[in-house]
Amino acid sequence: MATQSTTFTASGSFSLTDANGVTVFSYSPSFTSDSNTASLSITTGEVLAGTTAQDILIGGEDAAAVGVANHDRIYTFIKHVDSDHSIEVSPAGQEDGSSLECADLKPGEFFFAPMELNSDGNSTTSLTVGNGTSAQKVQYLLCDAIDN
Amino acid sequence: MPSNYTFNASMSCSATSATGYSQSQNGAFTLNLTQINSVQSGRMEIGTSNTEVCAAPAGTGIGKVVYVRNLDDTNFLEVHSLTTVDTNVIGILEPGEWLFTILRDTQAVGASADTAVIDVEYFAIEIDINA
Repeated sequence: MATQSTTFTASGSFSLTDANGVTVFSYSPSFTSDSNTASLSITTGEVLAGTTAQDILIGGEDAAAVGVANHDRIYTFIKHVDSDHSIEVSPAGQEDGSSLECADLKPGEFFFAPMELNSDGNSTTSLTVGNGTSAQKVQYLLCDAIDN
Repeated sequence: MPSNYTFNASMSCSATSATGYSQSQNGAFTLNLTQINSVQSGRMEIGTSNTEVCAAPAGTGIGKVVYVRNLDDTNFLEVHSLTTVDTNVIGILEPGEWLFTILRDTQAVGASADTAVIDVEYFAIEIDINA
């Protein structure tokens, strides 16, 4: 049986400056994951996060296949590339005001986390992006991570 | 006394297969923050029960920017909304990994270690309604 090995690299730069121009803090974290020799997919694309939440299916699988695969941990980068309203990022089934929102992004903002998609105890296995006002464009990069 | 700040964020990431296939994305943005009451940053210890990383912001329409990095060599870390371990999980961080998120709500953000106390690097900044 063929296998797939993937690695994921993330690097960031975050800084806070006060009104006098003094740097309060500056962080530049980065990491490269160990090789995931049982990786299922690298998924990237752009979707419209609508007023009806839009599921992002990992690797293009349908819900049943995703459920069987149980992706567990997924490196998740989501970027709001539209210009109007904020969007919510959640594990599927937890959108629309749930306490399990993982991010609320305004235009231009991004979210990054090694997400645990089935951590809510309801077998959630995909991501959802949604917006309560009007559809907004969202870009994403997902990579199957080594399970914890 | 509340203060005004400028927050800058940028990041890039890439996913690569052993076959040579690779995809990458990046982003950058600035938040101009006004009348901010709470800025926290540094290092802290996270135990196996819930440890508060970011206190619940007080007020209407505000939220927080949160960054957490697992500095441990072996154990994984859970980061969650509110205060209950294994509930409302935002991310699971293996050693060296980090997460960055923006949440526009008034909930606290907590973390818990897998098996033993973990040191983390973090910042948590309150953001105002206009950010």
